[in-house]
Amino acid sequence: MGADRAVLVSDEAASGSDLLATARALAGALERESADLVLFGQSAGDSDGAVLWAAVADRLRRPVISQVASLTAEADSVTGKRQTEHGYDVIRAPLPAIVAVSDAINEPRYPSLKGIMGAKTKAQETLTLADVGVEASSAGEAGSKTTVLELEPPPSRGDQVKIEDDGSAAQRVLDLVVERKLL
Amino acid sequence: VKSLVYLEHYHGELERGGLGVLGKAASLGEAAGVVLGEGAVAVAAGAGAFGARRVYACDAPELATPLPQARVDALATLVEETSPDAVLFGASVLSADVASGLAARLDAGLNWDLTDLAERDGELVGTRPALGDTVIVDVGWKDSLKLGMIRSGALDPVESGGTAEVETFESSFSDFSTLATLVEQTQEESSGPSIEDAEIIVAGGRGLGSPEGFTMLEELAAALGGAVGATRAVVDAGWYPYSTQVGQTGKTVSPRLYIACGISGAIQHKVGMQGSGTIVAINKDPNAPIFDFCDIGVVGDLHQVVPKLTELVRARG
Repeated sequence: MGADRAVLVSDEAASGSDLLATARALAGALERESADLVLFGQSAGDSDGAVLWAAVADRLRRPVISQVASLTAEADSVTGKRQTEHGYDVIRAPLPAIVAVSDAINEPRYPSLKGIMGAKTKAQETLTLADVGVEASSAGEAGSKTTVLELEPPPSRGDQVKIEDDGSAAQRVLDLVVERKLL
Repeated sequence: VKSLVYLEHYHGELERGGLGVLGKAASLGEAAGVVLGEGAVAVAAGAGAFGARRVYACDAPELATPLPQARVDALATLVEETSPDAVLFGASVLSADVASGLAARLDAGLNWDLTDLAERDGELVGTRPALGDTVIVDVGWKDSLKLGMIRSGALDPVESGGTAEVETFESSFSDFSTLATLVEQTQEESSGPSIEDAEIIVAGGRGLGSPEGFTMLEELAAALGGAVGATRAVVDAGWYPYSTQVGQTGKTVSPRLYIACGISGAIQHKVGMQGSGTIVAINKDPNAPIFDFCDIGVVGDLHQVVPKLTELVRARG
């Protein structure tokens, strides 16, 4: 996709990390890099939090702009246009800064064959928690402040009605909606 | 449980999300509100009617723009002064960043996307649908200070008619908290009825084929006395205003009836409307994910079904 280099922080002790423990490890890794601009994506597929960047920004004491739908970079600052519930905010932050983009930022391109082949020669560094300055007791479940108590299946939505339209679908929908006293 | 509830305000009114959380917090114990930013002092007292006995307000110039980091400073100051058991937020683009920043600052656990809160054996427990709502998780906190963010639209405000004492407070601000600045703000107002208050929503996605398709939805919505919603894809494409966007980066709605027209049902949209009472989906693709979580699914051409449905609803009078 275009990365020149990758860093993976992988450690058994990191298993079960919550927001705080993850932010701690990530901030540690980012401190080693001292990048001018740190970019985050929309959210993780598992926890759906969409909050990690703000915790990392606080730990690194850097400005943060989130939910960015378009981004421009100047010599010593970045400007992001972000979506909110009420419209759009344009926010500028001096570098170094942290920016979280929303998935409205672009459509990721498909990697080219050349890119796929080239990726094999790019450097990848694997770091442990110790490498990024995090003690095992501050990571993973031990370093987390939230817990999962119980898992249950969600309540069922009840019976589903499926209609193939043969010209009468509108009438059937209306009948069902009236039957459910929704009108 | 002694809670501090972060309340957002917009155009001189407290937002429903925070007020809904406040009602829940009041049912669990002593609830105080906190309002930050320009006009905070004026709107603060309004929280009394929704369960707050006390509302803290700070309108320092650092809080004038809707940016999160200075709010973390102010809340951290207030938490130190008032020692609540829980700091609770209604989810929004701004409050998510405030909650997460505060968690890092105070080294306090944050649970998010909660749909309910309860006290069980003296401990606060949150309910959290996870993994695309395929599992319900009960979550807890290990330490005495608990941070929680409630899913948008999950808790309705309860008007209890009480009054609140307003107390202003001062805060200092970190050097990095005011580095990001607001350059420009565009507010988009919808012309029709607000989708957050609508009992019936007719929503459209890419399957409408063109912006003109929304005229058809507006007619059906008018006949039903409802409002029109849209997916992010069509809002991005400029077919319909952002204020009508339902989904993760838009509004979370829970009408009695949600009619999804030409909407595939991607997770980004689903999270904004899955709390609806009855979901009707009209889509020509029988494999669209929305057919997995709708109540009434119509596989067919919406350009046929929708106008016919409008006609039938009008005929009922």
